Amino acid sequence: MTASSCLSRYPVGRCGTIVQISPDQDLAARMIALGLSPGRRVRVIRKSPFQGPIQVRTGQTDLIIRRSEAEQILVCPYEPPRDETEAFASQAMSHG
Amino acid sequence: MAKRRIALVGMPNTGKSTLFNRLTGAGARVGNWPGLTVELLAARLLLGDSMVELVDLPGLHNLHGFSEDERVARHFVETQPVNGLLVVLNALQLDRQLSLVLQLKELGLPLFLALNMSDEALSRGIRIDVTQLEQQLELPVRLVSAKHGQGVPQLKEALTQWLRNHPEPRSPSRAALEKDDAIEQDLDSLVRRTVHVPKDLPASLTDRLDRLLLHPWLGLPMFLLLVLGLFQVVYGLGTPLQDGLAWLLDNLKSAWLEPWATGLPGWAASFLLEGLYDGLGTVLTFLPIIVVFFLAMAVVEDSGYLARAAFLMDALMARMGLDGRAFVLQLMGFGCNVPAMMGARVIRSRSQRILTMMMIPFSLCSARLQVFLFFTTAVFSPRAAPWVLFSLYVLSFAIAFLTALLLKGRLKQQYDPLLMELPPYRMPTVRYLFRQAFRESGHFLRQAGGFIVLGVALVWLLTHLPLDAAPAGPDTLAGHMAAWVEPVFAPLGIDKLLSVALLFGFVAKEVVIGALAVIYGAGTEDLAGVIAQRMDWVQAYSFMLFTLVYTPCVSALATLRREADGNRYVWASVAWSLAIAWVLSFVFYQGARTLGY
Repeated sequence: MTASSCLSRYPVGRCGTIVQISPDQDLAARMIALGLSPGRRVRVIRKSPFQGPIQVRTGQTDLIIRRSEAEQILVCPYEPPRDETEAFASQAMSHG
Repeated sequence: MAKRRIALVGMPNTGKSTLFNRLTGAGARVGNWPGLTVELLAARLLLGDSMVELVDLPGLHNLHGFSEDERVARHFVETQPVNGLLVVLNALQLDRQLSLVLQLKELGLPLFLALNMSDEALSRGIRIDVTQLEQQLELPVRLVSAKHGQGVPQLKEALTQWLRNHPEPRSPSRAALEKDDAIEQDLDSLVRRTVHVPKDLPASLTDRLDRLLLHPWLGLPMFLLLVLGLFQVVYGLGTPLQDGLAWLLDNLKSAWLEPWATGLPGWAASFLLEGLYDGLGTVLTFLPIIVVFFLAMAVVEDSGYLARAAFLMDALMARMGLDGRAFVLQLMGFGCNVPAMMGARVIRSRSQRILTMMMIPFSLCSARLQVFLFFTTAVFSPRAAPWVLFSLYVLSFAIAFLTALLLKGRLKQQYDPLLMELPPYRMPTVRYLFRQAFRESGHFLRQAGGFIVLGVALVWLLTHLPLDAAPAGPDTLAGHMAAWVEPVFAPLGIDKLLSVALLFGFVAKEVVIGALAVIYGAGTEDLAGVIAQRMDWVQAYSFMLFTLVYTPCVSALATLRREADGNRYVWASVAWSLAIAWVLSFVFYQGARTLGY
């Protein structure tokens, strides 16, 4: 298993498990309220140009988050079982 | 007097306990109730001047349910006298949860309904018609967010009032506990009448739309195209309707009002026909455009696209010390600046909020749109008109951004992280659109009936007093005022009489067109012709530039004062916008004239 890295540096389409979120309490509370809590899986959907925000998906919710905040989220690569689509779908269901 | 008691009732997971804690603070205690084996949480709560005991009952799905919790709750309700039941429902699931209210109503106890998670419902586009719900259920209803505390003080206040009407604790009518059947049917019709849930588009469609609309390079051009398309629709649908209405009003005047007014003294006929009728009529012809415009805005707001606009624009806004939300508020300002300014509350950092509120007045609101539609149609060719209008929108953004850039350094920066949900695309329901159209036209007509009448009456007086002077001539009050401000407006190519209309636009930009009709003594249909005769396109554009920027209207300033709490920003906003309006018009007018236009 590879070491964890920031969500902001994740390439588009990559899926990972959140290891750690912002140390700032206020921001952490907002992250958790929107579904970004340790243990949840996130996928980077797209990044906007000019260093703009990134769109991530966790469960069935899509979020936009600035790169500076995404930098505070540590993610370790999620290695999907053989049938990736099925696993992702079931994960999405369980968080729905 | 008996001890006052309110029981908190609701389905599981409605945030009932959160609301309980919110209302009572930390003072909850676990109480033992005679005849009950389960312990219930109760706490004292000060409502108005009396202490009330609030009891948190276990969650129940159904008054006739069979789970232990449900039996306990039911038993409590049956045996313990209460002043009333505070029913908590999840606003997101009213369709399922209202059945409980209908069951509880049968008990004959006073009920008070709190719809929790109202903030979340709103963000998902679910709109609840509280007044309608109150009427249909014949109960007081309040929206709250127990999690964030919104609406809780208002809830307490309303509860105090409610308790005053029900001072004696009582027990339910036992017979009522048997009845159940008709409830499901009642529920369906109730939900249909009071809850508006937009249909989410399927996730796959949202993804496909996003691939296009949020495309790294095509996203922004697509956004501009959408905005341009929106104005084409407003223009294309609204202007023919407006022309029709103008024709109707003019015919009404010549066929009906003019013969009737011959019996009146000259000045009275002039006041009624050229003052009130022409002034108001001209403003009223904009009703169809306003309705079409707000319908289009409602579609955009409901569709979920605004969050995408925030995503697309955030990188640019970050350079001005703002974020994508400020841009969205700027877009909402297209309707009316006032609600957009109030919307700035979502931004937590004070410096960002103030920056946003200083930008919003430059957003081209629907009142200014009326002036611009009028002038572009009167002076420009039908082909050029939409582009002229579009250029004004672009300028409105440019000036707003310039304001932010200049102001950015003056405010101490506090960073507010951007983290928001990207909702799925939604189809607004037709019913909601109709309601929105109805509400906006009502609002517009009330304004027309209120201060626009006052405004045009005042303009008539200014342009016709003293009575022996030629109307709108140099000897009238307006003529004197115009002469006084002439040195300021002459270099901008703005006619003396137009400057009088601008003075009234300070109160509300809606008055400008009505004022012009009165000043030029022209009917709803002729005014465009008169204006086309009296000014060329350079003067018209200069006037529009000035109108776009010159000052926020009185209601916008009042909002700014309240939200930014301080006169400092109000004065800054007025002074800055006047200065930049003058400079902009001056540069444009003198530049165009130098170039030989």
